[in-house]
Amino acid sequence: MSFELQLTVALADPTPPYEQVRRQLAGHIQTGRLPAGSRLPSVRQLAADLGLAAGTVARAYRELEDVGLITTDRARGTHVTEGHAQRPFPEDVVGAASALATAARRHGVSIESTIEALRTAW
Amino acid sequence: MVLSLVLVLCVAALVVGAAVGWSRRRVIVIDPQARTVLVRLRHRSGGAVLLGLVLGGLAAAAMLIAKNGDLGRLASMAPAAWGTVAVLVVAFAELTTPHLEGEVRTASLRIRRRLDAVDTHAALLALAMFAALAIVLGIGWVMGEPDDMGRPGRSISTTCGTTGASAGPWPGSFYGGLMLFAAAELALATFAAVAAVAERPRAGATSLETDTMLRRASSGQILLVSTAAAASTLAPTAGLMAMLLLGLGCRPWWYVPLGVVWGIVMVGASGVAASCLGTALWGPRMVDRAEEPVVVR
Repeated sequence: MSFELQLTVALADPTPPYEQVRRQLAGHIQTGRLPAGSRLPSVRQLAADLGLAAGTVARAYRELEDVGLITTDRARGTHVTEGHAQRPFPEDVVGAASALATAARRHGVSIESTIEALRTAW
Repeated sequence: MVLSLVLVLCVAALVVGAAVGWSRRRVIVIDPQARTVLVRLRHRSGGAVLLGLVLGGLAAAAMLIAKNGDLGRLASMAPAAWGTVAVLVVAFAELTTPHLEGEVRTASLRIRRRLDAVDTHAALLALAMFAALAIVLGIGWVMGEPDDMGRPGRSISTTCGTTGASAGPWPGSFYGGLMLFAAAELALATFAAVAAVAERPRAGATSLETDTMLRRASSGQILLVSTAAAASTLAPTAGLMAMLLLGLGCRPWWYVPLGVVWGIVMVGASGVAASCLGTALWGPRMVDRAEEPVVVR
């Protein structure tokens, strides 16, 4: 990847941290920002950088594996599997959505309320 | 006369080395918005290096002045102990740095490789210094003879026809085994400390490039302290060997060039030790990306 994709976890968000991680990773995969074959960071690296327990990130990875979005191989690490990317969104739309999600999390606004705010603004 | 000249050269090497070390500090190009957190991290890291060197120095001083009748075997490990303590203090500071702040945490999805965190130049210099130390101690071990009390490898002896000459204390097996053990311990502590830097959490919301540069700067400081400690073991060892080889009344012809080589090694190792300490103590220089968009030197 030439650009730097990021994950954000807001501790004030009522959504559990593992779900925040899972949801963002699934979003990146389904929008094609994480293409098939992309390698994901190790559970330990991600957990350390986010200040979460390794088990929290491991749970998010496990749930993504259960729905077939990623696969983990002991030797090769964790990779995005084939065939899940929907039609990629335009880059500026994805960027604006990421900024909105980050701002909402920072203020402790839930995803439902954020979608509602988006509908109002539409 | 020769000894005085070598000592003068050593002092000159220390002064020049310290100046060179200061001038060759690494440059880190940082994002201006991350300046506050990065400056705080670098100050902490610099303080840890200073504290490590002071605590290591106290440990080394205690070993040097201890009077336990072991004929200086404990003292021969003092420089390596100094480096080991310093490296462990720096590693502890790295591992306990509070990198995460606030309610919102961010992490990059890019893969972080351990080798990216290693300052290659400092690592090569450390490898070369440890190899040189092992070679010098190995040669000392091979050339050593038992002293007048039968202690193996503690003197160097020659015979010229019917007369003989002997001098000591020689850094042979009597000291060499412990010194190699201390050097191995220092190398192990250095490896563990660099691994700790590579594994520690990312520094706040900095970009991956800035974070990698910070890690390289930290690992570089650890490797430089370790190199300085290895060089501080090598310099007096080579100096002692040079003095004894050149001071023998009767000696094979090749002792003279070998003594000169050890003298040069002593001066060089002194310069390297001072240069590494100068660089490690001052730490890297931070430059805002807008000021100087240059990659790490």
